[in-house]
Amino acid sequence: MARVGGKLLRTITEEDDGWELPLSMIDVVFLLLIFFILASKFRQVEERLEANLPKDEGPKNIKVELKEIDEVLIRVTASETQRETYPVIQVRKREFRGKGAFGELEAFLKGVHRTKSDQAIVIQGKPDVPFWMVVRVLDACAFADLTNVKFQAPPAELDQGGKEWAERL
Amino acid sequence: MMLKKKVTSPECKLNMTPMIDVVFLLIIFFMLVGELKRMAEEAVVLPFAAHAQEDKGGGTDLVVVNITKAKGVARTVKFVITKNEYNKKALEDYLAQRAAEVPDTSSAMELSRLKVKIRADSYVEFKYVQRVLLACMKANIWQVSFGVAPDPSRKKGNR
Repeated sequence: MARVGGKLLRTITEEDDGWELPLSMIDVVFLLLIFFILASKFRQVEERLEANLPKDEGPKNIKVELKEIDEVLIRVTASETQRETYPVIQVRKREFRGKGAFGELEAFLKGVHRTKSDQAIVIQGKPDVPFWMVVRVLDACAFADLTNVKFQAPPAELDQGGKEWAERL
Repeated sequence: MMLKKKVTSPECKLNMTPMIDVVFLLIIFFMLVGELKRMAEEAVVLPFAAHAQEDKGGGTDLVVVNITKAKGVARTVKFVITKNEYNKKALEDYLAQRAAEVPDTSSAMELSRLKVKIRADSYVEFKYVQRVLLACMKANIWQVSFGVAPDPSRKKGNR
């Protein structure tokens, strides 16, 4: 401030003249932005499907046979066309094929659960079937709240006996 | 009369901005390095599932078996546990050894408390997963789960 003729006059300096860009703040804001983008991107998006092996039948019991007459056996096979591989699911004389197979299976298993909530399910996956198809069947069981699920293993070594086993399907 | 000259120290200001910049850059650098390293070693394309449970990690009694298709070699599948590669026999031995370390004393059937999580590529043939399941049974392990990715097209309870 300067006094001229008894009046106060504001001195205009260069600093007051314009608005200064807060560069340091922009630096920090951008770093924070990058940090949170990376943190969200790398957050492991993963879940798990329980697939407990039969506890009460003994761990040495490698051969799995259908003991209960009312066990629901789900056979998972794949059929190939020139363009894609699609699932073929057989359960109790029914067959579900194609893209809608898992939806139909879910509806079927929901009906099974309504009849008997602790129904035993045996998943018999053909050895050369893609893993995702078996997971989708397991997912369908989880959807229908059927938790008593077992996997049927081939009787002998998978490389040799497995082929014979697969042919019997 | 001598006037005492008042000695004043220059005002010390700590500029925090560059320090924050550097700290954040270091954090981002280590995040990227760690993540890229992990991704390179355990890149598994998990199958989708809409009704899976949230995975809250395992603890010490959990073994994660990764089943992936080896790069460059057609139709070759490898089993990886904590960045080490195993063949079928070595996998059985490893699981048996780990299972024996944590026996379930409450069980009369010599079962183990060890949990196994199988992370397999979507398009791996099921027979490789069966091998791990059989190895688990031989090692008295019954708590098995599959690693899956949440299905983005199907939301729970919304169908």
